[in-house]
Amino acid sequence: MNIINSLGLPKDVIYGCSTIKVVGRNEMFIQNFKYIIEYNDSIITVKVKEGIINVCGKGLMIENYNCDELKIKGYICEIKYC
Amino acid sequence: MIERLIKYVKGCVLVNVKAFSIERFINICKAKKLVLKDLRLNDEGCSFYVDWYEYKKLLPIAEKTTSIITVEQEYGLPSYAKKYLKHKMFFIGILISYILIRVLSLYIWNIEFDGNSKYTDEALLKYLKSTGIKCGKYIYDIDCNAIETKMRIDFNDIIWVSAEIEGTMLRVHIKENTYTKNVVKEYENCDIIADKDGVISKIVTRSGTAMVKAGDSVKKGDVLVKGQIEVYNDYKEVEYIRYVHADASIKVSTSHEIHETLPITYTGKTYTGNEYKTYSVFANDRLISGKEKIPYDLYDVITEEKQLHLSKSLYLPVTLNKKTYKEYTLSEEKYDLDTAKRLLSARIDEYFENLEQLGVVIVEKNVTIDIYNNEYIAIGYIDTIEPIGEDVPIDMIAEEILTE
Repeated sequence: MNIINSLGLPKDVIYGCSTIKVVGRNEMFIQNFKYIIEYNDSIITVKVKEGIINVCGKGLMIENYNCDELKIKGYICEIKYC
Repeated sequence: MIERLIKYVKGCVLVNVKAFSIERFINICKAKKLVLKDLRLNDEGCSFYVDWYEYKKLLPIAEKTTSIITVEQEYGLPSYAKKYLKHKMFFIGILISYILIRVLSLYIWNIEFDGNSKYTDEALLKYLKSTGIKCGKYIYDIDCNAIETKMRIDFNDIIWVSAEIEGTMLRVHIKENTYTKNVVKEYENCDIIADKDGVISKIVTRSGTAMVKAGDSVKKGDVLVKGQIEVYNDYKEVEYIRYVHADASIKVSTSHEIHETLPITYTGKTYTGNEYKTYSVFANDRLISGKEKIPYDLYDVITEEKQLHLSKSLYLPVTLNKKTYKEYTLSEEKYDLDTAKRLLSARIDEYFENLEQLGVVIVEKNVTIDIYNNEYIAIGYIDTIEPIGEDVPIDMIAEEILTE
């Protein structure tokens, strides 16, 4: 941990942590996720290394989906870790 | 913009998936590292865009998850290619024609001359063939400068040549020397000698010493104007002789004999009206198709040739040939007096025109047409006033010996 901190290496790459980036209330990027558990237009549930992320909202849709990144678009009401 | 171009070239497919569990389908896609874009849920399942070449990877996933995949739409270049692959011979044909034209354009297929009047195109073509330049020669083996130099040396009458290669055509521009006389240069000393017999009608001396005057009879070879001026001293003795280029305008009265004949009977052609046409195709002077058998014994041939070309300078080695054979029969005919007079007069008039072009003035014509010994004869003479005199260089060594 100390070596990683002193060398300034990125933690998400070294530990495999997930990264969430939210732009306003309409866009959300999730990186380093494992798989999708549930997907409909009001809830998107995603499994990550640390647990489960629940994204609740209205008109949710996945704009881009590949093995590294997931882009969610729509009106986001709640982001919850379970 | 480049991204859009790349997207277009890669192509994509709009796929609709009807699955019991959309999430399982999507997760398997992730495991197989597939990229799904614009994933939208609908009543039946979901729809998304996937790259064209990745579409095939969805099929085993659909089988595994017992889903139904339908292609709603195809975008981009690969979908067009798939459509037109059925017509691949068309594209192969275009490629072959392009290659053929590119290869053929590396050779010369037409040679054109301009500015030549004394030498015919056929004569010049024959000359070029003897030097190795002919249709079908590789363009980069032709040295235009060498052609120009060789033609200037081999032809005395050609004073300027320019050869250039335009497309598949070799164009040769020629300028011929219109002078036929051997001109003595201005700085060379010369005498003026009579080149014909006659009576001097007029003489204007500009340089030199005149040896004749108007009214004198001269014969061919007589000196008319000497290219020397005698300089006298106070005692009226010749101190020295100054040599010059003799220059004078001398006109002489002379006469020319006219003698033209025309046989009374001649073998005339009577066209029967029968015509036979043949069409043939030649590839670089070799017959490819078309028959050459002619059904008549006596005939005139009119040939029309057309060489195929894609543009003004891109000629191809294919010539279309149309020959029209006109049958005729021979018959013995006689000229009547009026026709004979007309034909002989035409010949004589042409002779007069040629004389007039050389500066001869015809003063009097005395020609009669008569029948003699199975022939029509035009006989007589014409009196003319014409220029006389030929520059002959002075032999300086001989002159020095004479004056000593």
